[in-house]
Amino acid sequence: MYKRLKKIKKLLPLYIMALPALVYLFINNYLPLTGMVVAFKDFDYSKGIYGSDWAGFRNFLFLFKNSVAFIITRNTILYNVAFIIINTFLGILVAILLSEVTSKKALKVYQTVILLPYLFSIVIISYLVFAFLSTDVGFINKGILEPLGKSTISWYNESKYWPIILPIVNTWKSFGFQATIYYANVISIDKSYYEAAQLDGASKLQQVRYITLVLLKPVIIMMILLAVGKIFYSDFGLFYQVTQNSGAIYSTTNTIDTYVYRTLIQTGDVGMSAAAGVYQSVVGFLIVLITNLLLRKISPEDSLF
Amino acid sequence: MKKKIVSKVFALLLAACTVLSACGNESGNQSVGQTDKSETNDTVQEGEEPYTIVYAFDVWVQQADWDLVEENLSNIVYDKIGAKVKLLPMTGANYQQEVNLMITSGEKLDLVNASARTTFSSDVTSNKLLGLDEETVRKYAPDAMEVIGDYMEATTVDGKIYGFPTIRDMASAYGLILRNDIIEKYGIDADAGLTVEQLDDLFARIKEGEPDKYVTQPQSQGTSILESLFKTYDGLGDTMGVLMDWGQGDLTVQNLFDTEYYEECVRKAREWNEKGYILPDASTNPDTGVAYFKTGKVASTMSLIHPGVPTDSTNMTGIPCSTAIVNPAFGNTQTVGAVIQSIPVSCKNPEKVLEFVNLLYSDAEVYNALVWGIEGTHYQHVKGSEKWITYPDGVTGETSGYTLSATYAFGNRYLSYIWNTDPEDLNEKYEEFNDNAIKSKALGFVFDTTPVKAEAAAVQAVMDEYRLPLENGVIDPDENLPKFRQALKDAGIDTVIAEKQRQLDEWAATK
Repeated sequence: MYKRLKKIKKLLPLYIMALPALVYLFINNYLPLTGMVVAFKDFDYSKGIYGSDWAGFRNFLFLFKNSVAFIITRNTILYNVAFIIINTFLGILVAILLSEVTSKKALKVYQTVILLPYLFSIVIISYLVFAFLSTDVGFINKGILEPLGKSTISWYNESKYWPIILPIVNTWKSFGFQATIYYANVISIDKSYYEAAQLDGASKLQQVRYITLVLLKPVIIMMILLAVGKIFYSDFGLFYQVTQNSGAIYSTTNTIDTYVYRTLIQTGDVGMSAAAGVYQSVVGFLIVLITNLLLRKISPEDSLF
Repeated sequence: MKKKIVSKVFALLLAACTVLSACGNESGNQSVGQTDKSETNDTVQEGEEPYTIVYAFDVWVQQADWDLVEENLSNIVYDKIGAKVKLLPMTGANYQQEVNLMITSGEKLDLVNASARTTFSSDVTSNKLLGLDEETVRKYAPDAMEVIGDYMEATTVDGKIYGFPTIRDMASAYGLILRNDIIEKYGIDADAGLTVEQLDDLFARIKEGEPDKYVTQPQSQGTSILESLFKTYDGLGDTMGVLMDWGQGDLTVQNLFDTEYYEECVRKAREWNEKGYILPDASTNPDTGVAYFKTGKVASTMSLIHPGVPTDSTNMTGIPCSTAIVNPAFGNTQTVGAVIQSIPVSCKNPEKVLEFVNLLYSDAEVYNALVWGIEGTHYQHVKGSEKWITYPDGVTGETSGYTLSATYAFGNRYLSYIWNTDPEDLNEKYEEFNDNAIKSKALGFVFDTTPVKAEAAAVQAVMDEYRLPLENGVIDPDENLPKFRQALKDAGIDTVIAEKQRQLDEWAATK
């Protein structure tokens, strides 16, 4: 008993120091959670959030009302899975390549060039893409297909090309950020491992395979897990701006976010918007839990919690 | 011991939580309670702080001199009705959200601009806006009622008045904006208007004669050829169920997309597109419209047409142009309610706000102080003209701190001064335009989607996918029109139409 008291006394200043942050966390992150009830309400401005009448699950209905539900869920998940795989692979590859660059100047140039697209606004990127794909003046139609004697393609009206275009655009935009994170981890690996491996006659590939990747594993798992938690969210700008919101290609570009935006911008229904948000976060939360559970089964020391 | 501290911390947090949520509740209830109270008693405070009317509205571009204009306007209004005015102009994208937040959190807000084109009907059903009885409005805003007249029906739901449509172009005509050199070259009689058959011939000739230009383009990325040139129906808001023939027949709600008329229009759009009359990728090209017209690469633009359009487009593009009407002026709930000035439920003194609204409809000084700014600083009268105004000496469009000129956004346009690039009798032209417009029989009907909102949202999603490409002729109607019709059925358009018919009949019975 006495020992405990002493321990608490010792730790008390730390608790007090943490208090403002905890209060902030509580107010900012946990208090608004109660707002989730809006998803189950017939929202009425004069009655307020908690006073409005209950609507049960009616607000969720529109998400599942027609065959669109399947398409948007499929698109969201498949695109995100593709993005996770491509970004992780490229990010690690580029990070390892960067770590082999010895010239300080060249390294700076590469890093900047790689990261630059990540900092562009998606609206600017949508115009860059448009400069490539426009039927009227686009580079691909006017600069490649026409000189080759092929007929031009109306890219924004042909849904079959978009499952390739979108991953390319997304990769170009975001692999630099991934590479930077992995690079920071690669250079922090103790150089003596590599020296020892070299002495044992390990090739470069073997060094990567048995040292770099093994030591990167926790970071990779964490990054993937974070991305998996967002698998039900899509990058709104990518799917709305870059596609120029073209109806003709919705079958391959419509995701949960764009669907909800387009539908509710018209009706302005607060309850239904909230329902879509709750649906996304609950499913996202469950996916993280399940992934972590699986991970704990397969390799317990790598699981997050 | 540790347990005790933990439980104490919890107790504390709980206490904080209840206090916080109590605050939230209280402020929510308070605003409701107070509106009730102020509705029942006439509050004219003497010697007290004057009431400040907070007015939120959306604008295209923020102005440098808002402060000056606000102060000037506020002084004028104070002299007339003893209230101050605070302006809260916001640019498009976040306007709706900001207003929603302000109303939900009970922040002070007395007047907002809403629109029947966007969320007015859901604003009404979710009690975002205050419904006033006619007696109150007649007492505090008699002139506004007088000026608006029958148009008031567009904002009256179940006998309650939810707002005041601004007086501007109350109907929409559609047609072409044509370059004057094209008009001359091809001998077009623009004033007489054009028919679709004439367009067929004209487009073919322009295509032949102007190899370096596209013949025409839609008004903007999101509007279709059908909506610009062929629209002869009253969409009743969301076009899920419409009245054909400009709403002149009986009040039978039809499925527009199942009609032969729709199929013909879609095929015509397809034909024009395949003949190469239309700017490629019309529905997705982000540069469509004024920006593209400016380049000189198109001979004409489909456009909404009202008396101000020729001068506006000439000024904006630097290319002299005129307008030819294809589709005559037509008024319905949505065109009348394009801009509605409404009092939100969080308002504490609706009577004072009504008096202010009344000024916007009846007092030229107040109206022009808001639209054009301060005389001598932002505009001056052209010598010898009552109506015409222009930049003061030494001020240009680039240096002026207030170039809002949003004549459509507030009160009564007929009170407005006229910029000297427009004809001096512009207001009379507007009046004539409005008076001559065809008016739908369902003008005033506001559809409440609440009972079928899941279906309506699903149908909306289907329309978003198919309408624009079909109506612009970029996809093949043979293949896609049947698919579109089926998808609409699957999403439940029939349920929405049935509900709309029911509400429309009910509405018609009360008239």
